[in-house]
Amino acid sequence: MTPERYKRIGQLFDQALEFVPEDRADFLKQASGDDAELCAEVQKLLSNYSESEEFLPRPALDVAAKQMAQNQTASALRKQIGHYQILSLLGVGGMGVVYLAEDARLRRKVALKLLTDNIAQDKGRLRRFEQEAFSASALNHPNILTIFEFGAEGDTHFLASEFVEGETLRARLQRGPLPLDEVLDIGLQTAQALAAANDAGIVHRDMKPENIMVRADGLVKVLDFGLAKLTEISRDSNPSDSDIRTLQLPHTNTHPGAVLGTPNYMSPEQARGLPVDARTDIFSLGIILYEMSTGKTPFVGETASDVIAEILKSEPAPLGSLIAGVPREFERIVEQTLRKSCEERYQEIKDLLTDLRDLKSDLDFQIKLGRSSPSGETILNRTDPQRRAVTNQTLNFNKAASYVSAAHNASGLEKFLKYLVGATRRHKLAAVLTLASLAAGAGLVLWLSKFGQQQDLPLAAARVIPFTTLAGAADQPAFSPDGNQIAFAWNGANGENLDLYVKLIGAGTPLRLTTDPAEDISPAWSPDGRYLAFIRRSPVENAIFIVPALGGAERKLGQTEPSLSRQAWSQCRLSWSPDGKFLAISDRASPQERYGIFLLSVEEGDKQRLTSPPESFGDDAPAFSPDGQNVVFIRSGSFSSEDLYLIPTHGGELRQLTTDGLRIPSLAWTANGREIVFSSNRGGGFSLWRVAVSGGTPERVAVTGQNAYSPAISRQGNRLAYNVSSLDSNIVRLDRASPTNQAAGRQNSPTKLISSTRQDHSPQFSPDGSKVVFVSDRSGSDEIWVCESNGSNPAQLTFLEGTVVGTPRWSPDGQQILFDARPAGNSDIYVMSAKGGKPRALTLEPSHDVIPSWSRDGRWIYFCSNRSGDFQTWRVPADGGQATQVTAHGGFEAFESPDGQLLYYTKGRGPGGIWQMPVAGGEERQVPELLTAGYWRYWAVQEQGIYFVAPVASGRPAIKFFSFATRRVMQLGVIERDPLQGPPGLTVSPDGRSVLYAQADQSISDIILIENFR
Amino acid sequence: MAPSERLNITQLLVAWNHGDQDALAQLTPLVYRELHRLAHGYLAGERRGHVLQTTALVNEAFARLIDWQQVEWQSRAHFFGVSATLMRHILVQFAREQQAAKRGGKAIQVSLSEAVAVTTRHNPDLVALDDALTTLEKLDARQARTVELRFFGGLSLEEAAEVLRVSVSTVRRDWRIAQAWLHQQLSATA
Repeated sequence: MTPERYKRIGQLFDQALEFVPEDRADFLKQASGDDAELCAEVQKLLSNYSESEEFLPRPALDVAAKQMAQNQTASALRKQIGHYQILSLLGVGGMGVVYLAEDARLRRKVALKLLTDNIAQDKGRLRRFEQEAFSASALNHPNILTIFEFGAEGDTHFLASEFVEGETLRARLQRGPLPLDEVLDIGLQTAQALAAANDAGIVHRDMKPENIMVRADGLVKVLDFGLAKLTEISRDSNPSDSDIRTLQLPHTNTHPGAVLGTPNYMSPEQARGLPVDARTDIFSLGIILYEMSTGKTPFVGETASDVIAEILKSEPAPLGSLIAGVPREFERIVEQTLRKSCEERYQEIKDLLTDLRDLKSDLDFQIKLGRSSPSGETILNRTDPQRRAVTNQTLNFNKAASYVSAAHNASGLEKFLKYLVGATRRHKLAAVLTLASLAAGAGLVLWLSKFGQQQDLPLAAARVIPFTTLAGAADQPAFSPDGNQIAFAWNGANGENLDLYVKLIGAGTPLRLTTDPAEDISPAWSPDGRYLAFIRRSPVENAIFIVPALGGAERKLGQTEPSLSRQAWSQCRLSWSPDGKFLAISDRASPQERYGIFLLSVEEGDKQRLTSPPESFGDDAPAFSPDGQNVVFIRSGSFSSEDLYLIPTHGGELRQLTTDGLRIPSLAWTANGREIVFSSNRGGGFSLWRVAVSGGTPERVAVTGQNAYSPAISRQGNRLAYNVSSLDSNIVRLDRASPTNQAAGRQNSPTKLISSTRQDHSPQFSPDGSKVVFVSDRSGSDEIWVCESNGSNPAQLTFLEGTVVGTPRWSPDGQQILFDARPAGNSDIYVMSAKGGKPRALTLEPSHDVIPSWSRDGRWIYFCSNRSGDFQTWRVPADGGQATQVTAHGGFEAFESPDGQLLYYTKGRGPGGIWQMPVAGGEERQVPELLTAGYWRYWAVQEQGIYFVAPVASGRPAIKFFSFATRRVMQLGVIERDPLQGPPGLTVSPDGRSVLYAQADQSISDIILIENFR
Repeated sequence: MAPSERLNITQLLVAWNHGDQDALAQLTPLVYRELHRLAHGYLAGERRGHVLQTTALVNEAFARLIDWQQVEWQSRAHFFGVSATLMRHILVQFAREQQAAKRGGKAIQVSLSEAVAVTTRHNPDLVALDDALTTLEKLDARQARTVELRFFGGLSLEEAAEVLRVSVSTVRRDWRIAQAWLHQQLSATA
């Protein structure tokens, strides 16, 4: 082909695309005249083009990374290396990949590290690695991870070590500081490991929470002894900058002058590059003790060199100033480990060990005496979560007990059950379990049996039982056919890898069924109870597998299109037909198609289509009726508008069961096949509802509370299991540091401004800075609230009770508040007086109109709408009138510049970043300094510049400021917890001093069981 | 990453652009490091609902590789261009190595069904793509360059337009047809 010919083809291609698809062929025939070949060429090109789905949607870097991930998994799994059989992937680090493997000779589990090629090829490094492994393997101590073997199989070099099932101290610390007795316990065991190593003449040199594993039974294992010089990576840590630095330094060694290790845990002599001895490990352990008890390291800075400067110069804040009731002796011990000069520190680890041990036995003795000193109270908060929760619950228990004693009427019981469910949301479920059993002992059962004879008491005898209380997320319960076991998906204590588990109701520990590094989700029992079908989700495909319910070899049945992975995992479901022959799944035959429900034959593996949704809809979460005659599923349209549909399995008419257009994440049939129980936000928050298959209005399922998802009903009909997921988000205030501190890289500590046990978010300062408007569901559903700028006097502004509400914005004169709400199937923009009153709708189109903001002069209101197809920014006069489209290539969240000349906006999809265009109209362009801004809706346009939060791959997201005057970006601080996704997160006071943002402080996801469900 | 290292990458890029092959050897591990980081993210599995972060991570990877703030304003477009060529070079080399490793029998062959599951649309073969791109260069150099900037350089339409000194709509058109053409080439050879 010649360039001229190609150019002609290109011209026709462009022109043809101007036509609707049906008319393109006619146009081409005409335009190409008698050149039939030309016509065919263009048509071929058109068939390879899809408007909705780009051929190269992701950059090559991402493609290569996926390929790498895929190859690593595919090539290593089921592979034999020496006498080790690889079982599953544990982690990836700079030095290599770590697998869980089985030693075929000794039949024991090991952690197998495979070195990456570039390290294995460096003979010098390889030899050093071997030497270190050898010396470390000489260490034999219960608190030190045992190295079994260092060897090679062909070109593959590996290191086999003891496999520890537990979490790293880093993972533990991410949930917050530890109670003092746990600090002492871990500190003691770590010191014992260091003392044993010291006896053997080995210094660790790289002590940090990543290198300390804590087993479920509390046993501590110190990792990577003597390997510190090569900087390894442990099971659940991300590759930190230090690992990477070591990786690329070609001549990493232990000569004086070489700086090694993570700076945060370095001793002053190490930071200076001086020779180190056991006293360096003492200093590092001191920092770990400090961090365990306070939740933060004593020496912090923005860059590694800032941290080092702190280590060399500053004195840490005394422990007593950070935590109340810390024993003076503990403070002294930590202080002595952190002396700058190694001569003034503990000289021997054994001395430190003795002091820690003495302190521990003193405190234990105090507890025995029952003294309630402040330190004694700390001790009472044992590591056992159940006991701790009970301690915290003492006051609440009294409240619960009063409900129990008041249970002489139905409302008393209802209150109590409500309380239980509420408590379930607020606290770890173990506490609720204890409460429930205590309450039962207190006469509740007697009372129930008395009233049990009466009719029409829907709640009678229903019991709420926490089924899982695991750390991490447990979801998608599925009852075994006999109704006595529940299979579920759990992502592990560290929230890392989703696998399937089965647990007997009422007893036992969960049995783990799968270990694959991909996500194993959506268990469905075979009708005979012998197998479980499930979905295995990886970035490249969704596969359907079968595994014996007692564990054993997996069998792959087929796969589905991978794009489902865009959904949250908890919504991907499959269902097994009662005759055992089919699995109902969501799939599509080609990437051009929409997702429909398919029946996959268990024997033959072939698929037949059951549903074909209309344009821009997709079907998912199929569930067979108990008689197998029908399938109910969720059909979703754009912007999370979902409804339940029913289709007969053997042909027949499709029927719509709900007409809400709201969210439905999951559903289940009742045992008699007459109703569907489903989770929906039709009442505001997510709760369980039931609707008759024959039609009618949905009703709330009694007993179950809010934040309820993934219902499952036993075949016998007497048990209901469901997931309760809740998130506690709070609004935090960060004051900008003084210019001097800022120059020195210091930031102020953020303080909690607005908090409740539920979700508080979307803060906005009033134009005069005296008030803050925000969204909270503390009253039971999302409502708009106002408080003083110091967080005091919160007052509820809206009483919409059950509507999704968001994005409140003050008018420039401070008199009105704008927000979006979704009382019916679609969102609209509303405005109301800042003093309260009835909101007035500004938009009434059937489209989704969301995320409003005011023009600077208060005359216009910008918002995002899909009324022209894609989401674009529109504007409407503030006093009503016709809306006009502003952006042409996508617009999501928009703000005017302070002078009202420019519009800054994000696009909501595609790459991050902020765009700008003249308000009067014209070409858009991306703001080059703000390529990483706009994530999580954390940005604000203020008088002096744009504040935003940017993701940082190897650390916490940073709050940054882009100055209009200098066009420079500077960092103001970091967000300590995960940003809350979805609602707007950031606001800045008019004087630019304070930044408010919402952060996710705690999340819970557990499975609840209701006995005697009806 | 320490600021000094960032500066270093920028200097290496300059050196490479002036024909210093040694600079390439030094830059390759830096790109591989980002690959490892991203691959690790995929292996760890996306957490509930954290869809945006994947894009964020890729953007961060680019941001870490080249610190735009350090590059002077006038030469920004130039650097965008150089870095895209560099990424193409390194990533195609990476893909070749991966293929060689598979042929060498180091890794077990994936089963037929697994191979089928990876459609070209979702994970294009970088080596085949590179070859096709070389052919496209002869037919329409600007279209090929657009793909290099967008796909290998990770640039937005707007940024690509800045480098190529053409309008955004021209880039959008070029990108559209080039993708269709590449898709056709790759499905023909598969």
